Amino acid sequence: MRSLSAGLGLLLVVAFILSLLAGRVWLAPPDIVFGHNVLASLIVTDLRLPRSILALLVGASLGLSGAVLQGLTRNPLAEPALLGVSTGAALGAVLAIYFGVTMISGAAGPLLGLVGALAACALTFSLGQGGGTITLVLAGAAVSSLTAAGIALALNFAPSPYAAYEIMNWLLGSLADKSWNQVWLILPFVLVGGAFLFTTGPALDALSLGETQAESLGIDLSRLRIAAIAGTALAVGAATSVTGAIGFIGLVAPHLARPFVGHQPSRILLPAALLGALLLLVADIAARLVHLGPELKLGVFTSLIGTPFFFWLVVRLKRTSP
Amino acid sequence: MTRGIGAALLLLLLMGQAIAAPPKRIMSLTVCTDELLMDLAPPSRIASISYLSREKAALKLWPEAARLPVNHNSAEEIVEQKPDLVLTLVYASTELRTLLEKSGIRILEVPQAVNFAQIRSVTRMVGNAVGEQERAELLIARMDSTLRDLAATGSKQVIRVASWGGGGFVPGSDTLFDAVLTAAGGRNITAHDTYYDVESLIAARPDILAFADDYIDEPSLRRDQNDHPLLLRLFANRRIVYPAAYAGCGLPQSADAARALRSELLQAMAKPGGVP
Amino acid sequence: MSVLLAEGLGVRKGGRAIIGDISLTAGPGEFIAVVGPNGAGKSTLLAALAGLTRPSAGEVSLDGVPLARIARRKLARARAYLPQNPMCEWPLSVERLVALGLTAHLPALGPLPDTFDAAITQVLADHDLLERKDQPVTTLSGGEFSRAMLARALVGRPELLIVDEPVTGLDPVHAFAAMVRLAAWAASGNTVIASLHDLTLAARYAGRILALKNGQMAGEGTLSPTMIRNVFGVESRMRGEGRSVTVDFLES
Repeated sequence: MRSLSAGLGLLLVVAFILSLLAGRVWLAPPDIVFGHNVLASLIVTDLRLPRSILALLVGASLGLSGAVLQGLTRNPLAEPALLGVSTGAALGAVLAIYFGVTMISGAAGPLLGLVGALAACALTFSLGQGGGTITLVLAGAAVSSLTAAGIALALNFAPSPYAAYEIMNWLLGSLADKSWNQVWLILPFVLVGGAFLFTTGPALDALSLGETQAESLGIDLSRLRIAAIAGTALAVGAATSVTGAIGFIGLVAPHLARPFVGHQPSRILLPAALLGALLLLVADIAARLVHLGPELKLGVFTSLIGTPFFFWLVVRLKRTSP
Repeated sequence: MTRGIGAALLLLLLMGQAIAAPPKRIMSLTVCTDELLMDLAPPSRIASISYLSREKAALKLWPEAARLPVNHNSAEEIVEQKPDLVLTLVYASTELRTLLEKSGIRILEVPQAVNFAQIRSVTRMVGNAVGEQERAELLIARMDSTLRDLAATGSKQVIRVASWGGGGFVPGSDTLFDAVLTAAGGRNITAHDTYYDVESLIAARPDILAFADDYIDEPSLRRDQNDHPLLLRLFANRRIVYPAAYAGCGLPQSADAARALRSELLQAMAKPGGVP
Repeated sequence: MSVLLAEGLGVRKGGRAIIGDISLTAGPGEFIAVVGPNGAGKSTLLAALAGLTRPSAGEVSLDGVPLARIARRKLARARAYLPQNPMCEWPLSVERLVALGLTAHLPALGPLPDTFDAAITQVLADHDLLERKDQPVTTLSGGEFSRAMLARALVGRPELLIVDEPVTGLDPVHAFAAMVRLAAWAASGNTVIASLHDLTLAARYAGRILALKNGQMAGEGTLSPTMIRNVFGVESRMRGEGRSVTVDFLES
């Protein structure tokens, strides 16, 4: 795992640097390093640096949360987007932003995103847990549809006439035109949520043997569930409140890590976080480079990666299950 | 034979009357034709104007709209109000056109005027149709005089302007905004209609950001773009607001809009700001 | 040194009494086999003795301390439990699976210290799994998988081992081998409690039998045709003794 994480860390650095250079206006490295070009410095410090850091934070949150949820539910299809957590968070954020709550405090965005994520998680788990792999995913699909419809409804009633046009931002995700404001806003939530998620490693390992054996090994299952769900709600809830719902990163990242580090849940956590960050950075760079009118939403690119992968997973699941 | 000549003369006279008599009940179905109509014809000859002319921003500039009857661009109202002339923009629905032809009601469809040459031709077109040719020429003459003034007193200073606040959409040439901006002495940052994100906007180095006054202040994601901290910093003193109505309909008053815009541009340029 | 004591133990589920009024003492060196018909409550009893099911009546204590009052991890270090048909969700390697048995010994932060490597290797060797230590458990045969699970239970050197149906689905060779290992663990000074369907194996290897019928204790001590008649309602014949005793059921 160590060499994989180191390798991923290196790739991440490369991708981060590329992210600072790439865009509709390509910058040359000397512009940034030596700071002679004032315009380039402005673009990097005020636009691309916060954007790239956001991509890191959000991608890592999604990848890490996906790994934890897969370990918790012992379901290879689990991830925050598929379980409706992402759209739930987006709904919370939409209610906060378009109805003026964020005018009172900017933190209302991530806070309501957190609440939305928790509510969606609770609903999905109460509907789908204990019914097998597919049942949970179906419950998640139902909650996703419900919350997406909620977003459309809320935007229709929003005071701003632009609200209805912005629905694609919320359903597909976007990092366009973000600033340091958003970075500072979500950083505490992501760090605390991430910490919760990282603590679940050993408990998730024990859970490989099923709940009874895990309990017999001294694992506090309810504390595990709280850590996993609270961590997801904090990190993914806040991240989504700024970027909108981004799908598939949480699904793909852990699976990409498994061939390298094996299936032990605790060993997948860090690589999945790093891979999630990497995937999102790459998707964001791609979104910037495709010039078709307004910027293509991130979700288009994550779906391009994720949907074929998802189909492949489902087919494999069909083959291996009784 | 005299009876024949007399009948022919009578017929000619009647026809001439029919051609020469200006329409007495004019219905306008769109805001742009409303405004031109209100400028050209007396209220007694206006049957109704579009209900949209009673929106706040439009009323500010044409307060008389409050006192005129309104229509909602519907066939039922046309049948009810029995106009003898209907004014609307080109591309009115084909059903409407067919209905009016069948009823024998005259319809004049005018194009959207996006530059001053088109403003002249549209004003004349409508002036002829409503029987106010003299007034139309008067308005055009006033407009041209203003334009000549502006051209004569223009400075060499290049003022690059971007119309912002439209979700990243910046109108290029072939738009009314561009025509007014050019007459005012500003230069559009783009030749074609383009989508800009904040990055490409500042890379285009505008001197001034121009916002239409129908800029809604309700919270939405558009704020992230319009009020990006970088833009707030660079353009704190370089933001101007122009009446959206003047960018919407090409009218003789567009020359006055250009004059007002010029003074705003010069005021803004007197303060520091823009992309270093 | 651990004495497991159950007094008046009862468990109710869904309004029904599954087991009731069970009292027993189990000390180091003892291998107790719990026998009884299907539905007698053996699994529930074992889960309650392991502290995984809260009793509705009575109490289970280890060395005088009620199980409910022992800290989770401390209890997990002292007692190992294997349910019926244990499973592993992910294709972990045999070595990793066995290492999971040391979960309760993990430090607060970080992975298992290297000092445990020797223990893991030893237990793998004891259970003939050393060759397969890197093989994914999903590719093991039934017998090998059972061995791996038992190895994971024993790697932490529990003073109390509770196993529900350790030989289900195993061929005779593997079944005997499992019983030998359980008996050996008890003989090393630990307490082993296992539920069994095979009365011959129970008679051969267990030092004491505990018979359950309809959730109540229906016999205790040495297996005999009388006990079998009381508990199962069938006639039987026992031949031989010690490690070669056999129990045959007689058709009526």
